[in-house]
Amino acid sequence: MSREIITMVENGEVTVSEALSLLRKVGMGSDQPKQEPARNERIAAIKQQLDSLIGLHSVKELINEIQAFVEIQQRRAAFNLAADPIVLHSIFMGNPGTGKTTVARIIGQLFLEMGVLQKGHLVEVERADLVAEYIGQTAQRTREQLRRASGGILFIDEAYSLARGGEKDFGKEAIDTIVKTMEDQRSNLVVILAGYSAPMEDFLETNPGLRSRFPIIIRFPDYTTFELFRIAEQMLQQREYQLSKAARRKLLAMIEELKRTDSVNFGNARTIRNIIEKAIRKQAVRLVNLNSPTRAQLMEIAAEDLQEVRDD
Amino acid sequence: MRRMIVVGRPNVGKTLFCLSFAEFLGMQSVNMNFVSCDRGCTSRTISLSEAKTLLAGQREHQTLDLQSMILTLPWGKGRKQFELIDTTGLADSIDFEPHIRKAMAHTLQCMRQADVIFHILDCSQVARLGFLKGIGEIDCQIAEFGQLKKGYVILANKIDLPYAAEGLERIIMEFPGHKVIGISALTKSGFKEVKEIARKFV
Ligand SMILES: Nc1nc2c(ncn2[C@@H]2O[C@H](COP(=O)(O)OP(=O)(O)OP(=O)(O)O)[C@@H](O)[C@H]2O)c(=O)[nH]1
Ligand SMILES: [Mg+2]
Repeated sequence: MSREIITMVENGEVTVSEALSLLRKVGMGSDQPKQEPARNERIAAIKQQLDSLIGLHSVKELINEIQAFVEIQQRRAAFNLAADPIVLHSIFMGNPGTGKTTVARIIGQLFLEMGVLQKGHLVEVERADLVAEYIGQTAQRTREQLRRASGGILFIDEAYSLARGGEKDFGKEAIDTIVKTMEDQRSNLVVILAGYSAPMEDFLETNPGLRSRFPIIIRFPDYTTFELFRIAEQMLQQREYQLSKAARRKLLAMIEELKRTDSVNFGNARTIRNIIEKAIRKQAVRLVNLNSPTRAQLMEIAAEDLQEVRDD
Repeated sequence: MRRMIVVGRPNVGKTLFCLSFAEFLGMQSVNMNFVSCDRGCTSRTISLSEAKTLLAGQREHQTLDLQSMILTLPWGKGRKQFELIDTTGLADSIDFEPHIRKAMAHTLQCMRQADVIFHILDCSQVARLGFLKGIGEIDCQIAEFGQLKKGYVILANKIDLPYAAEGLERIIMEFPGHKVIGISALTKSGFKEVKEIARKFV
């Protein structure tokens, strides 16, 4: 297989970049993982899933550490050695579209396989799912979500919005209810507070009790130009489309330009998704009046199909 | 014996790096193996100063053979050998010249078999032309491929040139999770760190 790819380079059928990306998929052949017991194999498969996410190096590294830590604490416990209590409640900070939910979902699966959680599912909520308008109802509503999440992960998006509105606001009631349940249900629920970095830092500052209850902080960096490009490529590949040579160049230039001019809001995969979806529609319009477009034409996104998408 | 390969786009300084690094490790001359993809293998002993004028140059695709040499590094109480291989520059576009395509294919083949990849980028280009023109998609693909290896390091070269420091900063930003060392193949700055890395993988 790898021979054929290399011959394609020789024949000028693919660029070296394309060849490298193909070779990567074929793998190295030599370092095949050894046969492992089923549990380890499943854990390895989940970590493989994590590794295959584009970018997010620091996130992957941290999750590796957490996994190793949990594993060792479990083994220490088996030898009756003093084992630290495993507290996995976390804070995810980063711009929207930087992979927080995806990573949370994978962590759920990981903890399930490791025996930390019984179900490992993800319940995503925001302020409105927790906070009610009338006195006394918030605790009830919050408990309902906590019940749904039991055995898995409660993922609270823009968690700082719970602190919005000051002392009288019922958001505080939601926080108190969550913290209380975290304490009671020690081992069978993981709570993740997610959101933009700056307001999250403020939130933690004004609620000093939270920091110690959420000992794991994972920061999600903005994607780099190439990472965004590869995300686009991956999205297209999954949909069985392909960029033409000119389109590759144009897309890279577009990403670079977006990053340069809009660095505060850009750096996320969502804009890329919009660009790709738009391009797919543009391509359709371009091809719809052709008599019988070929398979290759149906697959190819041309440079002209790529257009700026306003993110609003 | 570990095989360490030096790759990158044309003219980023791969050849000069190899020769200067050999010099840095205390060699005056090396026995250089030239492995061509179609003309077989020739070998000759050459002084490093002569090799520099002969083999490194302004022209793109100056190097069309794989040029390999055996070097040694201090290891425990003694020394340990490794192979350092200079390669043909990898370009983003498909070259018109069949022999250049062939040489690039040869480089890819060799990359697959290597244990360690030194990936050379040109900081001064990044500073001068901006990130996208100074670095290509090919560099991102090499970085991804590098993760399959025991060792993969980015050497951001030509740090001696004006504004190269800015280029280095940008490279570090754009390749998170990878080890990046700023070097100059001309002045040998940064080579100590490269040596440490090489020792780790040898
Ligand atoms: N100022 C400066 N010039 C350098 C440095 N490294 C290489 N050069 C110059 O850059 C040019 C290309 O260097 P080479 O070593 O031949 O580059 P290469 O990557 O082997 O090029 P190909 O074999 O053509 O792919 C030569 O003129 C070198 O003198 C450096 O660190 N600083
Ligand atoms: Mg060369």
